[in-house]
Amino acid sequence: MRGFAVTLIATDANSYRLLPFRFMRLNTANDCDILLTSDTGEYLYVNDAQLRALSYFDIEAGTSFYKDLLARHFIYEPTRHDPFPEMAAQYRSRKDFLFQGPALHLFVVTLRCNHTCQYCQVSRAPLGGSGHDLSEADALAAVDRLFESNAPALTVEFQGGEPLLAFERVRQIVEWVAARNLVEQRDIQFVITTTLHHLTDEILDFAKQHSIQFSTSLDGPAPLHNANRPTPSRDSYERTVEGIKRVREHLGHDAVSALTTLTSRSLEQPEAIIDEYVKQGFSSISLRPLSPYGFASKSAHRLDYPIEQYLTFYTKALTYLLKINQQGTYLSESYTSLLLKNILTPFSSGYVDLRSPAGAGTAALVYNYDGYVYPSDEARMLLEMGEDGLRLGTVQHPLSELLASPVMETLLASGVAEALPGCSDCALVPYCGADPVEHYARQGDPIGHRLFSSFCKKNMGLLKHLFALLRDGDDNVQRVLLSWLNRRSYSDVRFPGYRG
Amino acid sequence: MLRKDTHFEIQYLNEPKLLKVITLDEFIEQGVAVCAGATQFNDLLLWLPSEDLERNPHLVSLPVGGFLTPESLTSPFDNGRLHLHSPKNPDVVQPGDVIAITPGNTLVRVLYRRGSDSNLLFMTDRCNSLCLMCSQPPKDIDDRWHIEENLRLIDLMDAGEENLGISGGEPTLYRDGLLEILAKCKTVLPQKSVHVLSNGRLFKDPSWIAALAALGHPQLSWGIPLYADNAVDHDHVVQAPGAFSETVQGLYNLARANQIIEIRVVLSRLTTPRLPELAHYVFRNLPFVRHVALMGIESTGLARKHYEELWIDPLDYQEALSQTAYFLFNRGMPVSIYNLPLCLIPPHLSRFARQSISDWKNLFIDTCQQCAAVKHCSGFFKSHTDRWQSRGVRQLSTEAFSAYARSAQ
Amino acid sequence: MTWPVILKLDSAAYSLSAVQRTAYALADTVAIQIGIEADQISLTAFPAKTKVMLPQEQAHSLILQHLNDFALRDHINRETAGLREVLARAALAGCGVSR
Repeated sequence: MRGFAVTLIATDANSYRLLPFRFMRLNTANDCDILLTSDTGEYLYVNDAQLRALSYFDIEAGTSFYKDLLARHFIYEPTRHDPFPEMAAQYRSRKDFLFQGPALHLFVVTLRCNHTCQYCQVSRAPLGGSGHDLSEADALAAVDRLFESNAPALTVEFQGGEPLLAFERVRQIVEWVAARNLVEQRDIQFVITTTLHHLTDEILDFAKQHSIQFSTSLDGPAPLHNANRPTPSRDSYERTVEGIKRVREHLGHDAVSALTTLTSRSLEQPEAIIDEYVKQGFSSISLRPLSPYGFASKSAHRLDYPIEQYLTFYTKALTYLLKINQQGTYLSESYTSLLLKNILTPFSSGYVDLRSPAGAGTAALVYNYDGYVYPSDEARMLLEMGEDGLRLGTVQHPLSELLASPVMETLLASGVAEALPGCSDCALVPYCGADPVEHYARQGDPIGHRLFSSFCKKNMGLLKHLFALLRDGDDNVQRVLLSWLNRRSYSDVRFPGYRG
Repeated sequence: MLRKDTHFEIQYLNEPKLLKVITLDEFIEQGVAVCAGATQFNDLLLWLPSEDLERNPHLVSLPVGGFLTPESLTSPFDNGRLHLHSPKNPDVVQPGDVIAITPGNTLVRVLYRRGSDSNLLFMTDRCNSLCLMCSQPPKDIDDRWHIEENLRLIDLMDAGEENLGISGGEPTLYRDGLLEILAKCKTVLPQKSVHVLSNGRLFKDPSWIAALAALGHPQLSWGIPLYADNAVDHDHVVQAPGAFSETVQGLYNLARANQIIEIRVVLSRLTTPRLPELAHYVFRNLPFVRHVALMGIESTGLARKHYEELWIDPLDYQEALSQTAYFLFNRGMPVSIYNLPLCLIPPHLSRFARQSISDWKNLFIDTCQQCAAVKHCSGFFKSHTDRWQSRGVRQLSTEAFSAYARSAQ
Repeated sequence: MTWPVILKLDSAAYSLSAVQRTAYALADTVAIQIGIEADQISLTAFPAKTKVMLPQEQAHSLILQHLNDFALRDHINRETAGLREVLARAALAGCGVSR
């Protein structure tokens, strides 16, 4: 907040002046159908008459609406109070992630995998394939890059292929990182993204020693999961569920989480997928649409679906989740929780896809098996599709060079949502992000056109749905959403309190 | 309720004194070490009941500052040394306490009470605001002498870990004195957490940031009042134009100095209509705040004069209070309700209710005597009157109270 | 190709930028051609490929609503010109992002 010397002074007789805000019609039946938002994330629902009156200096001072507008920094009184310190503090809280280097570091230790998933986001190599593993020299260099980031909390995530097929490399990297960290003293979390099919007691013991978390894929009940994830023995579901059990026995219930990949097949059965997560005792579920990467685009005609279908699925799934949570089962949808944090608090979730400036490269780095460095998992998947335009360099380049690469410049130039066509007028931009890699993949251009962007349609659809729920949902719906916000039990959130 | 002053008969007092009351056992075992800071024998006032005095009359030759006999003297006694006896209320002064006395005055003020969590360093009667509900109306006087008295008082306290308050008036008006006192608290009373009540306006001056950071007191917190989410309403309550802007900037400067901050809101007809909106403002703009205290009004001082403008029956703001408390609680911001008897809040708010009224001004009225909740209730301020009594004050039956107890878990 | 919606707008009431942003915002519904004549902006809209069934009146009112909303946004942006940039600069000082 230092170094700005603007005094807000009235230029005419109006008792109040406007502060920057955006508005959007939610197209619901509610009388207050227009959503006003400020750059700092404050919001208010108003009607047409209120919006006009506000904009043309016709709100009567002293009314509660006038005070709401003042308190949420939509207007200010130049002769009375300078709201800039508050607004700057809010803005800074929301963009706090900019003050740190990349915190998420993905190590693609191998491309080998025992699955032959049609939608696979990464091209894979057969089990016995060679030349698809991260070399020792590259792994060592990647660890140097990791510690060049100034982030106090670092996540080291192992990806594949199936990373447990290259467990010796995983072990090496973990041990190097742990040893370096005796001096570095960062807060480090290790995660292995795996099918859990290749777990051994040795791996579990090692995971226990280093508090390694497991992230697995569970697409739903056995028929759906096994149809989505073919293996020669056709028992992917059974082996994954067995793996979940073993991890929990060795490392505790919360040592494993799961992600869902939604194929067009999945969209027909939101309740069955959710029931499976309840059955397996998970407390969160991640309902993400299929990404346009890896093999997914090539088999698009069979597996892909218009984002509108996903939104219908999401609405059904969320309705069902709200119901079972009210019945006493705690199961949150993780992307919803992130959006709620963006909406309901002055902070940003910091989630890579929901950042502006974009999180690719600035929040996350991917060290690919071949020694190249990518700004995101999606960017490296483009490579496997034959696009090689989005690499930042090799692991042998220092982090400062990687982040100054031409690719990063392009991504950042098209990665500030507030400055993008369409986004710059959108009232949801404070809660959303920019995803130039996604737009590059879908539209062949890092900016793309919002009206034809599935990223935009998805986030707009979800955010509008949540804004309507937060306004119109009954007390018990509010209670569930608030319980997800701070991961509290539903019964602990006895009353929703002021809706804000 | 135990008052903080009473009258004694006082013999041979030539100058104002601050004295630590100490028993014979303590004197023998610890001497001046019973005090947290640097002291001498003549800072001590030996606790000498008549019985002990009669049995061991030679005790009065001990090299202490004087003697205190907590009852009437059975036989006249005069050895030309300072002697306090025949208290009007024998419970007020007890061993371990620090008292202040002045020549020509029989009043004995307890400045520190051993074991109490309500001890206070009173900084000044001066203030730069004039809040409509001020319980201690400010006086425009030079009372810098409080600084010296408090520095002395710190030396004479016990070293234990009770909370210590610093209040006024507006303590920051004596900036150097306050910083000196805080520094001394840190060195002499490292076990005590210190809570300063300030309107925060002067922290607008960013030079406080370095001063507080340099102080580095690990257990220091600030209670800062905020009465509205907008300048007009806040400035009206504190009767000072520009106060809202100053306090808000002050809060940011305190945050920059990594200080622990509590927001305090006195509940009145003026502050309750937008109480939920105020909570929203605090959470959105001041998320670093560690605690929000929603406080029933104390019907004393200027509040009495502004009865019409301030009084609202707590029953009539229950809904606003509930909306506010749960808004903050659900967002992870700790919140408490102070000074409201349990019978005036719904059971689902009892988890936030605290027994907040300092022991020396806490009162339970006739209705409370048969109430099942009395041991868990804040009760009333001693200044309580019928005019400020809610229509909802009632006895809670054992059954009714169990609902509160269940809710509080 | 079915109907066009044709509007002649007073350029004192609607800025070129408001008209252009309307065309952008409705790109999945109508294809809009923009022309400039003296103190008028002309706007010719045809239904987008996927929206050939859209009734002309509905397209008309949709375009007008967007034009008016963007004109209002113009007004708000004029009234708050420069503040957004000052805010971002003040808030983000020291993070290495220059905007």
